[in-house]
Amino acid sequence: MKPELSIPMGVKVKSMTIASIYRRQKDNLKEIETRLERALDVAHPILKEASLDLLRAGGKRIRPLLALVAAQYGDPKRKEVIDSAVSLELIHMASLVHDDVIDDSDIRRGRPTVKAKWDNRVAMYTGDFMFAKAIRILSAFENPDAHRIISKVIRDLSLGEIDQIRDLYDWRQNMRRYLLRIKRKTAILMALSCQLGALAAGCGFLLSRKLYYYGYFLGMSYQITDDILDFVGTEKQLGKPAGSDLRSGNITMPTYYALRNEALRGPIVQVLEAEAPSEEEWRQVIRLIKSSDAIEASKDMSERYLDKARTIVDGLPGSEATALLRQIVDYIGSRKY
Amino acid sequence: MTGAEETEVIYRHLKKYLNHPYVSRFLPKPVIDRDKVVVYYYLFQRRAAPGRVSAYVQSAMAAEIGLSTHETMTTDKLVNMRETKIRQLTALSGDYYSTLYYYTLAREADIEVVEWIAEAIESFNLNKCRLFYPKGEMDWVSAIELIRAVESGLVTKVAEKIGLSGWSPMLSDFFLVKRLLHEQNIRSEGRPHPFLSTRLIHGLSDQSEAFKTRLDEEIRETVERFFEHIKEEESGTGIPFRLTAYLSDKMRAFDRWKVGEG
Repeated sequence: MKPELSIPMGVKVKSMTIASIYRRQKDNLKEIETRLERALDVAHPILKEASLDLLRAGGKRIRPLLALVAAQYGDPKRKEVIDSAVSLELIHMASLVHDDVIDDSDIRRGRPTVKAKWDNRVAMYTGDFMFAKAIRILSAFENPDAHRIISKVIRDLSLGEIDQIRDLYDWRQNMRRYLLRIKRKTAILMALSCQLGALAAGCGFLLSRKLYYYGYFLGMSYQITDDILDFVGTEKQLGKPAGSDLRSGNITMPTYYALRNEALRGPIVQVLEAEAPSEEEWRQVIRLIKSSDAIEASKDMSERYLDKARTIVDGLPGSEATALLRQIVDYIGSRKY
Repeated sequence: MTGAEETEVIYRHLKKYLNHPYVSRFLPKPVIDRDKVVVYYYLFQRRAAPGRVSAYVQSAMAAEIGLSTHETMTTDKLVNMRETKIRQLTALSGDYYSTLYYYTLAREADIEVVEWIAEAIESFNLNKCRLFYPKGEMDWVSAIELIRAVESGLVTKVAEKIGLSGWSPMLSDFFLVKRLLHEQNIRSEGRPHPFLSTRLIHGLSDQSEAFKTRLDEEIRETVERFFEHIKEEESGTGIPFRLTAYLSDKMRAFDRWKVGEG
């Protein structure tokens, strides 16, 4: 599943920090919500309700937020800045609607999914509609380089999703496959959010490229953390049973590290290759992975990506935007669920 | 190269362009409507630089195929892993094809056409919802108009935006007949009613014989109208003769096929 940002309730200092970033962008985020509502105000009751249901269910709008912060390096008042933020969220929402069909999920953000409330076809139409709307808004951009970048990211996103299906239950795949997959699945859209925000604000290509890498490293760390939390979180925190990724055959970083351990490999392979493993077999393997050093090794890897993001931030001009980007890195590093 | 040779080359390129090795292990190759390839070829000759027409045709066709792939999405409860994988890849390959149109046109630096196609895709999905999930009972005329809009929405949007809206009536009649004949064919083979027919039957209160008669009439009238457009074109409003000749031949072939089927 794609991760969704939530402010960790128990971490007061950090949550205040991330909350303050949201507060600073309150007016812009409000405008983005209005624009999203307008974009999805379509002349068919089901299509409209399906789109708006997901919009109103919330989400933290991390991609628009990254675009807005990156835009502060240029002229954040340009019309293209809000346009890009709206488009990024529409692309993300479209992928969520289709993901729920792919994962056969009935609940998202505590509400019935489009496919559960109506059916898979309505989900296809809704996602396709949102995606087309996003492209239409982006088409107002006059920068041909921006379109080359955006269209490549969007294409790679869909290739990443196909890779994920291809790699299910394949315990022989190497770590590079996992990293490429999460790059395509999560990191590049965060990277694009940063770069597009900067380009929309009129920043030069070099600066926008630095911001792309910032978003990329942040996104890699974000997804690895999400994959760790899938093992260590509780069912209440996660909204799904722990180890759901592994249960659905999705081999993530903790499992990779665990597979390197001779003692753990046997039981993991056994459960992945079994026709219908019992609940107890799953739980046992998940317990093994949780209590192994695979979790710490994954945290180290996540931290290494955050360090790379910090290095990028260190090379950015000293400004309020740079301070905000640093705070976002710290927040991602402190995420508990 | 003649137009026919060029469109054949585009068709072959398109097959490669849409190929995804993993997807093709589970799903049938995407169906490429050769007639649409030909129509887009003549349309984009009025837009693209010489030598670039092929890229434009491939883009528009990728968008068409993305949408038609999602049309094959099933709604039943799945019972095994293979069925699950097919469903997942139906959603994902449709998404992948849809991304290709933008990717290719961005490399042609023609964002105006990207916008046209995105606008047409929006309308397509809206019309699909209107057709499959109507507010109330739908009458025959409304259903036919929606089918027309769905079948030729992208191609007529491109025609209109290029400044060739005079081509649209002919094109929309052509693709409407093609779809209705397909529906008729499925019925005559006694296969379960496709979704479009089900929609139309609702409009006729499930009277199956009345449905058949009405469908035959609709096809006949649309074919006649199509040839009227072709005749008008002979007085010269700018549709290339090769295109009208191609579509007329195809329409006559459809008609023969229909008689043969009957």
